[in-house]
Amino acid sequence: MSNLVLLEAQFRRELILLKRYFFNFLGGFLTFCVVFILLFLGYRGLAGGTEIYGTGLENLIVGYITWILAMHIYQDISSTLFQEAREGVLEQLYMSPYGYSRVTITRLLASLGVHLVMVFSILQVLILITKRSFNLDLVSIFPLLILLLLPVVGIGFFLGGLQLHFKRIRSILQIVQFLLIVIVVAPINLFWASFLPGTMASHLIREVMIGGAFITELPLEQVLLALFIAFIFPALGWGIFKLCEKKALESGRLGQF
Amino acid sequence: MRSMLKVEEIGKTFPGRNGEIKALDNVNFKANGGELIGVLGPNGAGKTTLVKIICGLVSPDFGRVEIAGTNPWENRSRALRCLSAVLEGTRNLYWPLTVRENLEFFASLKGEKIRRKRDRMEWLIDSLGLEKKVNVTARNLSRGMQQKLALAVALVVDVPLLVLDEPTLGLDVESSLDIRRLLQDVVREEEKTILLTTHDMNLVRSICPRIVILNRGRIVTDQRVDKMLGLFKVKAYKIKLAQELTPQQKKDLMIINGVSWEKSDGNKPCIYFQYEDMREFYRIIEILRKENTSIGSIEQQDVDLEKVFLQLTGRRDDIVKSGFARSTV
Repeated sequence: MSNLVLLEAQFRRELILLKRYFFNFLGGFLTFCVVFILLFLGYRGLAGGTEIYGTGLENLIVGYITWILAMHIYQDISSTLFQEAREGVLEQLYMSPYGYSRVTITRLLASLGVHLVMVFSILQVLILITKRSFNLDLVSIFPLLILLLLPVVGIGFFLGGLQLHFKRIRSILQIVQFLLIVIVVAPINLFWASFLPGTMASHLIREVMIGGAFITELPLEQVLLALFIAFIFPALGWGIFKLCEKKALESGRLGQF
Repeated sequence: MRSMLKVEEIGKTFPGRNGEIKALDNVNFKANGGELIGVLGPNGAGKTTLVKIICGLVSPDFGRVEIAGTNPWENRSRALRCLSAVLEGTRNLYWPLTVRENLEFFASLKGEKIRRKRDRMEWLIDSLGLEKKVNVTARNLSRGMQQKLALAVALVVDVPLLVLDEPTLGLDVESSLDIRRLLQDVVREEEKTILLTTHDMNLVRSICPRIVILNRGRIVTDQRVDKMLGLFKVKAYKIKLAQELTPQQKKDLMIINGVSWEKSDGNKPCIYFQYEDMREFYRIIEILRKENTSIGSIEQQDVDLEKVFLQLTGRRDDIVKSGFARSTV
């Protein structure tokens, strides 16, 4: 039984849904662009209507697109799980011989492709609007994006697990979407902030995109800390998810919402 | 014959508002390859819990399940490769995907390459009358079509065991017939084992040679349908009386198992009697004779599955005590 069969099916499903609900995708894209324009105008207003100097705007742009990506990945786990339970398909996914974990991971990989296209397109629009340029060194950015997204996956599984157990926690799921902003923009000169899930990776992405650094030029201790966080949060999130899953299987509440 | 499904000593208790609820209590049965078994039971009998334990979606407190020799709680992936299920009617569909896309996606979810399943998909689409709906999303199908698609999704991969929870719930007559025909075909031609839970007596009577009746979490009977109806037929009698029963006669009759009376047939009293011991029949006659009650006639009763079901689930304790209902195929 090949994982490629499952991955291909998930990619195909993502593409079908993208095509079928293209205007929804386009609507999301435009909304993010409009929200940024409003932020941009507000930012300029705060700066007294003058040109913004320094890296403040670049930080805003990079923070914004990393937040969009992180939020989509987080929603792909937590909200999709809620939706699958509500529509009744969750139990079928659990009955796949691949196991729910592989089904979820392949779905994440498939949706990551779509989200990357969206985020890259938004970035191009933001560059056009703000006339700023970035170091788009994909060799450096891509591994750091993975380090940013893995802890977010951990948060998604953690809350997905709580959802399996407690069922109605949508308000918490929505609040966390906005807490992700703190995670991606928190300054690492605050000691505690370095340990937030994804904060260090987000900082390193800014170092590459704004500072022009290559991945090998980044401080080793910071890369190691980002690696550690990228390991520990998914492990914790997954552990809690499995625990909640066990409880849901015991109580017969897996497919309920 | 190879046992495709074994359920051994399964027990499950859920916490309830007023203490624990015993959903399943020491449930045992086996299903061989090519068997079609109907699981009947009133609401809350434990049917869905049993199905979900077999499918690995609810963990049992104790006991063991084997699907083609594998316990889903020990080797989940292997066991689930031998099983497909339709749970609670239409609950295995992706609503934004079309009929064909759902079939393709769920085939892949079971590890099957789509191109190898093209012929089977076409056969299922034809058999279930979904030809005109292949490009319609599941969300926009009628309830009957959704149910058919759910069944097609479960059958798209060639697994030896199919578990169906209420497959004809809410269907019109025509859709229900299509589903019956397809189930009979797959049992006959592919020797699949099918376990289906339902409230639909007609469905069970028409396609299930064997039924398991659950009540309050226990198996009340596990029999071939024809054998069970036969057993009840020879034992069920209606005694038409020419006059009213006296209070003393009513009192005496009440202590005999399997006796009830009511007025019918032109307001004449009738005694309904189902004997488990021939001596009880003579006791009834003796009770009537003592007060010179005239007997109009004694008729053997026609028994249908519904009556048997009601008797078994309503008088479970008596029947289990008699040892009759636990005889198995």
